[in-house]
Amino acid sequence: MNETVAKLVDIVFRDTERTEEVQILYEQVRMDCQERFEDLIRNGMDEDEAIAAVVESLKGMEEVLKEYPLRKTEEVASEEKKVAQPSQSRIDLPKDAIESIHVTVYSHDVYILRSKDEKVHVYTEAKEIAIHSENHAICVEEKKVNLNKKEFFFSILRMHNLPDEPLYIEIPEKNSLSADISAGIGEIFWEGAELGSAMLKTTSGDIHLKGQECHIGKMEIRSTSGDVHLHDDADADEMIISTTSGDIRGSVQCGRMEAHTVSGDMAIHGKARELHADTLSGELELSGTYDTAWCKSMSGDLDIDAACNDMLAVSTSGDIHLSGKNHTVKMQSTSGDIITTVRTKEIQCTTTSGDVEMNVRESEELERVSAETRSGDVQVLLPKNQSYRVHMNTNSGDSSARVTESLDEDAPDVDVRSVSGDIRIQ
Amino acid sequence: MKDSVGSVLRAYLDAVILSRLQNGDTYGYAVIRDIEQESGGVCSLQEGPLYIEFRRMEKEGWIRSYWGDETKGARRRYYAITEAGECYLDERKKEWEQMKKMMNALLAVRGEMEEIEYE
Repeated sequence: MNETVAKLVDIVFRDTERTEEVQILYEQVRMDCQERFEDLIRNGMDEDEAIAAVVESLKGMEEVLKEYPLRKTEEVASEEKKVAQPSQSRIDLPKDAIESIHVTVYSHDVYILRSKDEKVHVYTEAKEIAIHSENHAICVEEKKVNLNKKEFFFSILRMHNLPDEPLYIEIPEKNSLSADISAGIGEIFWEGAELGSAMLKTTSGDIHLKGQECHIGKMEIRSTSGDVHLHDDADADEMIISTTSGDIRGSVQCGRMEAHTVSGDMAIHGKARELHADTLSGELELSGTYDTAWCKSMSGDLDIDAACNDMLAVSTSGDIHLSGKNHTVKMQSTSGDIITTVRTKEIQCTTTSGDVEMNVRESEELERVSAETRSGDVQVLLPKNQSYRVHMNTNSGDSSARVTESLDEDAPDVDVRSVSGDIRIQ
Repeated sequence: MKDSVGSVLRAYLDAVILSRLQNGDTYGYAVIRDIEQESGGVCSLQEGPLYIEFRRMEKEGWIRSYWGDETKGARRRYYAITEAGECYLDERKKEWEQMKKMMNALLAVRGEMEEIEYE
């Protein structure tokens, strides 16, 4: 019996409760499809075309099966669990016997979990995945499948909303292993495994990171259109995430973090010593606590509400909204507006045509405020009941300062300049 | 398969299946293959509609099914026509004869009128 044909029929019948009547139907359809497949091959079709024809012939089966009750979800779940158990292909090695894990699959989801013993376990039910070890490394590869057949196969999988059988990797605590995992359209689920370093890659599959009190040395994540989800404060010394159109969302804690997207949006709640986040056209929402944070965007807006020692926010045409407690703040934009309500010590805003609204009224240790623009208007709200050394200059704009001015060297500096924009300080 | 051919086949699928069974007991894919071959490749049938029809016909009592006793390979489910099925098929065949006459008459009238118009 052709395995692909058998699998297709299994998938079609998977969610239907196997009553006696359904079992009879299942056996008939299985035999029919097999015979159809053999007929087509005998008549000169190649295997891919024949599989495609079998898929086509099965399309009406949903109509037949909807008359029968669905299988109870626990049954399906327990069957999935069975799938998760080792059987087809697996390798179990003590953690000291290996140094690295290399995985290349195209359509299978990959789960990276914490091992319950001191061994590394790698296993799957998927027959097309081969697992072997060589030179202190575990290698996992999906055998090359003809793209045509894959496409038809996926089309029926999608029809029934089912993923391929996943690959499982279990890793013990406290190790210095490195892992390089590539899953194509499959998703990657990282759940509580510890590693020295890891590289996770997908094309369109999402990547999920669940920390659960585990630690990773260096983690690098790359995806083209898949989203990256960070759950439970995924924890790493260094984390570098880059996507093209995929979004990056969730919470993370790490020493150093980089997040890059081209058009993907970012919504990050983090705790990090150092953060670099940049996007071309995506929107960036940032919250959390950082020692230094550098946020950059070309056309996307930056929306930041964070506690930070050093904050740098740069945009070309996107607006910048900043709030929170930031020791020193530097913001630059070309045409985007800058709107900020912060408690700060030192703040500096520069725009070409964007307006600046700077509210530092709640700042208790304000030392220096400066704003510079060509044609944007500037409004500065300073803490009351205090005097300032004010330097204000505009070529053609209007200007007004309703604050007490002082010559005292200890008074905070307020320096605002524009070419044509109006200036208002109060 | 043209839509009109498909809809006629769908409307008379029970009769078509029953007439296959009159030639002897048979199973799902064999029915599909017979229909395809005997229609010169014009009519193709998927498993879905076939088994919907089998189920309905079995409920109506026109056919019955049983496991074959294959000596090798997986077992097959065979279908056989019942007496009630024979009676129903006769009715459907008569209906088809009437339908044919009616359609011939309707098309002939239209054909003649078209000829007259073109002259």
